[in-house]
Amino acid sequence: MNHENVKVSFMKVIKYIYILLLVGALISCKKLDEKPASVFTTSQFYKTKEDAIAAVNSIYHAGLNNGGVTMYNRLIHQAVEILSDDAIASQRVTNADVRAMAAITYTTTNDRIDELWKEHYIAINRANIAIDRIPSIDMDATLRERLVNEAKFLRGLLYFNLVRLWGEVPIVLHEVTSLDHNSIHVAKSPVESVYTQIINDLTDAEKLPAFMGGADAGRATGGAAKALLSKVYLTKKEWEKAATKALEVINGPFGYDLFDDYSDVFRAETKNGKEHIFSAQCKSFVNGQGNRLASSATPVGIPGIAAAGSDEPMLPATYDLYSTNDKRRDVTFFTEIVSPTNGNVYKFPPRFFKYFDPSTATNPTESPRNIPIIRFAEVLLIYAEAVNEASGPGSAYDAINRVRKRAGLDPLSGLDQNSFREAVYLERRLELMFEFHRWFDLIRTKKMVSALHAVGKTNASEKHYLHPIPQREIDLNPKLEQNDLWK
Amino acid sequence: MVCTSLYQLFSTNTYFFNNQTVIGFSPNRISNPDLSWERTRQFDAGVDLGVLNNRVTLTFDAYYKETSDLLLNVPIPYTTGQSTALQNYGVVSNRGIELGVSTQNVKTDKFNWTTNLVYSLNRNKVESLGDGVDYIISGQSIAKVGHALGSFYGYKSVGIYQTGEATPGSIKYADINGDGKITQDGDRVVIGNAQPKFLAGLTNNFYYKNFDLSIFFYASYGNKVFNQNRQQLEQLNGGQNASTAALERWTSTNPSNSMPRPFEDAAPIVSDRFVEDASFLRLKNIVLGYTLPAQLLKRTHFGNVRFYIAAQNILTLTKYTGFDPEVSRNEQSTLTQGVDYGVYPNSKSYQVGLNVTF
Repeated sequence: MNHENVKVSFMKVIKYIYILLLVGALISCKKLDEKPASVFTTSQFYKTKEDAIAAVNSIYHAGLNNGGVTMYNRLIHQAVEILSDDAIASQRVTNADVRAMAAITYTTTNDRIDELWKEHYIAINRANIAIDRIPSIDMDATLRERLVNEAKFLRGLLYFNLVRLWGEVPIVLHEVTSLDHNSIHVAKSPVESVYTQIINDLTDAEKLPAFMGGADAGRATGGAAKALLSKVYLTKKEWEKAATKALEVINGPFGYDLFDDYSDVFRAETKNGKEHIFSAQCKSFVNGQGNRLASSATPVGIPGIAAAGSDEPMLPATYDLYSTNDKRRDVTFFTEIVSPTNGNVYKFPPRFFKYFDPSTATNPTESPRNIPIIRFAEVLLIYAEAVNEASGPGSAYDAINRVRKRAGLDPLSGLDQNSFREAVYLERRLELMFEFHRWFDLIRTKKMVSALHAVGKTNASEKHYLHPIPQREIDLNPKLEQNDLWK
Repeated sequence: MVCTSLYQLFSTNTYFFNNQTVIGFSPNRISNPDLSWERTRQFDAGVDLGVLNNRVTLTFDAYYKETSDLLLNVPIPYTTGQSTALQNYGVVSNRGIELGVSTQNVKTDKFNWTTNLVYSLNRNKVESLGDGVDYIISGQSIAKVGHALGSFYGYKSVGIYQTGEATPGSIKYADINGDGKITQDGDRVVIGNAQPKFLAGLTNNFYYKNFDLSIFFYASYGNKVFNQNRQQLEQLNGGQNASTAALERWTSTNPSNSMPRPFEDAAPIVSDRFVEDASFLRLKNIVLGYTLPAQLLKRTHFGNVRFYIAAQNILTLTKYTGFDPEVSRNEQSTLTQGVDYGVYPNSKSYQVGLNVTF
């Protein structure tokens, strides 16, 4: 065999191998199904009890306190409360969108409104997934039902915010699994349909346990569902239903009561206590989920305290509302702070105080205080307002006087329906200041424009009773129509 | 040829019960089982020629490229629970020419001069978007069928209201649909595009005795940038910093027709006031070197020794008022090209160096 021949046959073999490889490559996988082992996918999840719990936990996270400026942990302040006659944007607010909210010059492209809409729907999506998927998990039936009802409570709360703020909104009740247009473009539904959905969800959630203690303290309870439902009926002006539901909370087996000391409502040591029906939970130094409202209310320029100082009360209007013997005034506002670095006392015009915690004085953003969403004092006031609207002050005095007594004020008596009504509105404002109720109260009692004009927010007009639907949503969804007055 | 289907993936969230941290899981995207690679069809025609004994060479190429199943992070309504979804979404065409000319201008023993010119022109067009959609709006940008990608979408400003008119000192916007109001739905138009009309590069290389000099100019013409920095710095709302442009603002004694009066709490508006021409001519690279003559090297072990000084980006001619007209095209998504919002500019740099071969 000569060298040349060996080389030629070898080359031929190589050539054939090349051809085979080429052909092989051309006809090989057109579609390669990879199953990446390091990431979780939905087909692997929603199988066990732990999965179900995690799914519901994620709703609390998205809907209440997400880390950063989210939901109850300041986003609702920036996109709702700061519009009211209780608060303004301090000079330190540099975000033009927040300033526009405070001055009522916002437009359909305002990014705070955009963010609030977005976060609500992200949380609603998670609730939908839980409600869709948990029922088919093989686990303890009681726990399974409880988790689904927790999801329904949260969904009810989220849609209640949406309907109060935007009016007609898209109702999405199931996980979005397809990207085709019919799935992702949803038209808005009439206000009544949204309320029907809310009431359905909350009625189911009434079946939640009366008490969630121990490791579950902070989860939604049957009492929370009833309390929220009474507020829904109050907002809809269904006075009898509101009063009945509020009474179920007051007289029910929930053990709710007012704290003797108003400051206990906010202190971290007494969180999730007898007055707390439902609160957004905060914890220091975990993923930015400390109570940021503390930092944004604390004034700046105090050595050793790193505050943002951007949320200011509307002064003197709000501070002067409280009489000097009202024990709530000095829990709601503070006028001096001791610097942790030099021990000096610094005085300043009144600022909001409810969420500031001395344990995190140097870093107020990480305050461990919870943010109350519903508490017993409000249920008493809901009862008082509803009874008065339905049939006059009569049995409403007891409820409102319980709140006033705790505040160190004299009981009310001998008022006619109109004066009682105004007294309840005022009591709500004093009791619940900086807890995100003022704007909602102004719009449901139709007093928003006059109240805002009275304090100098003269840009307020009829159209501001509803938020504009974010321009982005209108641009991306041809089936969604803007609110009439914002077109 | 390798495709994967996209699963829903999870993100972790923390919350607290009884002050103890608990974990939650939720999907972070909607799955798209139809995801596939982009497909491009391309037609090319070209000419390569050399004349004068290859002292002048020319290449010319004309192309038409059509990319379908464009991979796009399509914004979707928040009501889905997500913000975007990766989809194959649309067909985009790019047509253009590329021209390269190389000339050996002077070639003698002592002195050489060559020039290289490249010129490219590209016209991009969105041929269609998925699902019969006509446009996708993403912030200040719009991808619209029939227009190029990277178009800006906003109001058109037509001056400032003066004393005696409706709201003196505020900006007048064009009422495109003539309904007497300025609205997002009725009065936004395409106000510019980020893509350049042409790009060109010119390199000149000189060799004289042992010196070499290379000069490279780079130009882009017709590209626009949305200067979002100015949008923030010209808010004039008293709550944040303002540029010196604030000195030109409208007052009753300074009836400017371009800078509005300060207005407390003005919200940022997308308009053509912030779309700027970012055409530029840049001296991108200049290198001057000196190679040691062979006689000097004979006595050493070195094969070659060359000193050089070089500089990059030392000269830029542009009307753009931001820091750098070129940064805007770095790392932008397909949909939102050409936005300058605090982007770190290219820097001038100077080098001194030594090449040694052993």
